[in-house]
Amino acid sequence: MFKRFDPSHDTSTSTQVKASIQRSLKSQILDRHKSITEDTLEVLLPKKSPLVQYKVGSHMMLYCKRSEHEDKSPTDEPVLFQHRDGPIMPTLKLLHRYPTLKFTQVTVDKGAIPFLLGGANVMCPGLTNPGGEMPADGSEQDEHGFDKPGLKKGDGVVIYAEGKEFAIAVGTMTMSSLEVRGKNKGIAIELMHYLGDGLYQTDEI
Amino acid sequence: MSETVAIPEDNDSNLLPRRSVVYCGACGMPPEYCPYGPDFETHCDPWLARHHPELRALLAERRGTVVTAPASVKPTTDVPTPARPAHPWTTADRLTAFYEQYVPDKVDSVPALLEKYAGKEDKLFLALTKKYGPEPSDPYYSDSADYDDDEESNDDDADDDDNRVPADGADVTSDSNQKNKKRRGAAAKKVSEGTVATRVVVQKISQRKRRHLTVIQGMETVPGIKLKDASKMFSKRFAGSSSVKETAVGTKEIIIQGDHQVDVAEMIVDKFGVAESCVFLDMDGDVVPLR
Ligand SMILES: [Zn+2]
Repeated sequence: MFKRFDPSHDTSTSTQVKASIQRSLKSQILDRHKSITEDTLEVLLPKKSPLVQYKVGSHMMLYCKRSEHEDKSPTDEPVLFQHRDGPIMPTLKLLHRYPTLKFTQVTVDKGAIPFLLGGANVMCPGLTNPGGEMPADGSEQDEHGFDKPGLKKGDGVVIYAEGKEFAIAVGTMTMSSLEVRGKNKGIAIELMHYLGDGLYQTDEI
Repeated sequence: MSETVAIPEDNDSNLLPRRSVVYCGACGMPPEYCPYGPDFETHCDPWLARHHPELRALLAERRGTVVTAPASVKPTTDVPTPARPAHPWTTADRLTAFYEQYVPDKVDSVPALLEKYAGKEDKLFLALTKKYGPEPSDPYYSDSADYDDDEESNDDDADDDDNRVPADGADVTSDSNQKNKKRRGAAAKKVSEGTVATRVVVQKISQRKRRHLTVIQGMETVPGIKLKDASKMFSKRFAGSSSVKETAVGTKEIIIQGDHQVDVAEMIVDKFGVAESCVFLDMDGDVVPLR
């Protein structure tokens, strides 16, 4: 989605995010990513410093932290993004900087690394091969007594790579983790943002 | 990374510790991902050796590689590409490789030829390829599968082992070879008629916030080059996207992401064999010769 992103062409003018919107961004993140606590998120996105938002194309919203400077106009650093009404996800550079900030995550085996660096979607075997990891299914049951999947279709995930320290990409599950394990065929994660894409190369706008 | 402001976050470092991240000065990746890029040995590894030798040693250890001088570090085991030469061919290398393939007993005449055709190397190569066949490809640029599948190397294969029976689709193979040959013949003819003078201009365009583009105009005036192939090679060499666009006046230009003005110009001379006198740099509107 950000393969050829270029902030000088592709962004609208910025507007300040309303306090109510910023609250709902945070509550949605807390709801979807259980390892992130409210206190941590308050440190990351303090109430007193509102984010600014840029519209990218017609369906992408990019949220940035603004820095004021004495000698030049303010600069905005991308921190979160949301495609249509999909999951709100962090930029890779934000994740790299805060090693304890744990969004819901998966790991691909090292064979998948070159493909992801080219912007390709994650195929099921990348997660099910030795070296790949996904949250376990069945730690909870639904009202009919069936196992709940560790990841649902549509969940936003941060993608790590076998043997690497830094996150490699961010994407959306196109099937549940149960289906990924069961079918083990086809696209498991649609890639949104990856190392080397236009968003990654944008430190500030 | 520009740490422009001290955000009070650091007071809460217990809740959300912040680390400063090293990104490769050559390709911009976290260095553990550099070996997957096209410039690992030529750019990334030397940069890492100079600026973060400890990190370089640590990463090499994780990959199971013995650390030696930067240039001789082998690709990691999980990158299945053969070791590449550190530099692209010079014109002399290129000519030597050509002679070694087609007329090995005359390799000794290479220095004399270079002297005789100084500044007219493109004509020399054009004449040689017409007489003997396609040029051998520089191993520096043939590091990935899609380049090995290049039409020229297919031709090489066909020429080398005529007796080999293709697994299937023999007709298709020979057919496409013929087409390629025809195309090359037509392109060569057009040039030999002297209708187009070779003139390549490389320009750097600055966009907002340290973003640049490199624009090459006139590559279509270089004999025997396909713009798409050239674009692909630039993209590979400079680890950025590259595209061919038609300009308003109907000529074609190649646009590469990033500021590579001088490197591109040198590559046009070294790799594509264009005479230096035909390559120009556009310095903010002033078109100056490369040398
Ligand atoms: Zn690098």
